[in-house]
Amino acid sequence: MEPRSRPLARALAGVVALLLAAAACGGDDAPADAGSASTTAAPATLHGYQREPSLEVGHVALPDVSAGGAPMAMRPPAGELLLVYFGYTSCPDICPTTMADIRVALESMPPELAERVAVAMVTVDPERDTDEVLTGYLEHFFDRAHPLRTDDPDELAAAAQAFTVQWEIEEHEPGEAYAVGHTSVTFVVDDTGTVVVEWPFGVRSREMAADLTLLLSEQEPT
Amino acid sequence: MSRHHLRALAVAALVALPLVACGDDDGAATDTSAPSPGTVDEADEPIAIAGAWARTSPSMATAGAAYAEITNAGDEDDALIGVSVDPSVADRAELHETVPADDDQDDDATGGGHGGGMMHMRAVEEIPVPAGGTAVLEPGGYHVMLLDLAAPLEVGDTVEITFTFERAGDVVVEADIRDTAP
Repeated sequence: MEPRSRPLARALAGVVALLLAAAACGGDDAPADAGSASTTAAPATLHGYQREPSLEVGHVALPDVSAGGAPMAMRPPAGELLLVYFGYTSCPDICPTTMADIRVALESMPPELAERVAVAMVTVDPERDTDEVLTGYLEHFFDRAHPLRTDDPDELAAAAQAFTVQWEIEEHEPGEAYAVGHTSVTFVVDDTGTVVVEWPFGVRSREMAADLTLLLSEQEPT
Repeated sequence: MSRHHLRALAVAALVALPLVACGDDDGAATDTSAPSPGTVDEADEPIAIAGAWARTSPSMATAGAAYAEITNAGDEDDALIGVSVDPSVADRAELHETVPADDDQDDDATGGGHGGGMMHMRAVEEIPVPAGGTAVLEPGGYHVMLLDLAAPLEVGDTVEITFTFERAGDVVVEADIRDTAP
């Protein structure tokens, strides 16, 4: 549903549709690759994008508030996947939309698959996102998730760089509310610490679920 | 087309891509409870607001967002120029827009070869609602930002939002509070 009041957006939507035909849907005519009882037919494709070469983030670790600040490596246990999102809790639009979409995706999956997916959110606004705030925020969306927070700007910058994430805190007076521009991508990390697919903002829950299901099927627990 | 526009376009393409990917319907497992109220449909009023909803807010969150689709059936262009809520909901409400970083400034989004995917949020003075047209407030685009929420927005409740238009004046809607888009 493009904003009809913005002609440029309409033009863009057309361009996007063309790009899509060329790229995202490449030859996969299956009506639904999520959960449908497909008959071992066409190779399923991911909805997010895969970059070449893949990002390697397994060397990155950030303090996990849910584990008392113990470092959490960006590399899930064997056979599992880790979703990593950089955001902030005062973000009213993009961040809660993404978190809600991820939750819906996980809830739509069989529990035995969903339990092999962990969610981590890294705050790019540690000044306002205290341990308590970040934890409470994630608890709204997930029974269990990993609030990742560091007060060390260098540590945060290094982690963000590994994911090619950028953020930018809006200029503000002390005490004033401010927005934080940030890369709005959810990264899916496999058990080798490789980012196997990236979801830009706007990927739908069912597409997330389909991607996760496909990736988990390729990554059986050992 | 300038380089600037091409970059913005590339970013927009990436952002918009999943929205239209393969023409899927939005069959996500969202709850499909009763159709939203939040519809103002006076026969002789040109401005109609449909599907107004606000997202549930985490208990620790100070900011919230609301969305709606505004249609102008009249012959005159109009514009949404303000929004307000009762102080029992939030300290104040503003019109905001989420935009790809390159769309509002030409700083160098390095990133990973796909525009970086960085999104900014900015306040907007007005949202045009052209004659015979529709303005869509939706996640990732225009939205009502609620600042300093008085209490968490709980699913099942509603929140009253006053939209102020340049021509049509005030239009009040009840927005459903929901976890996900209707």
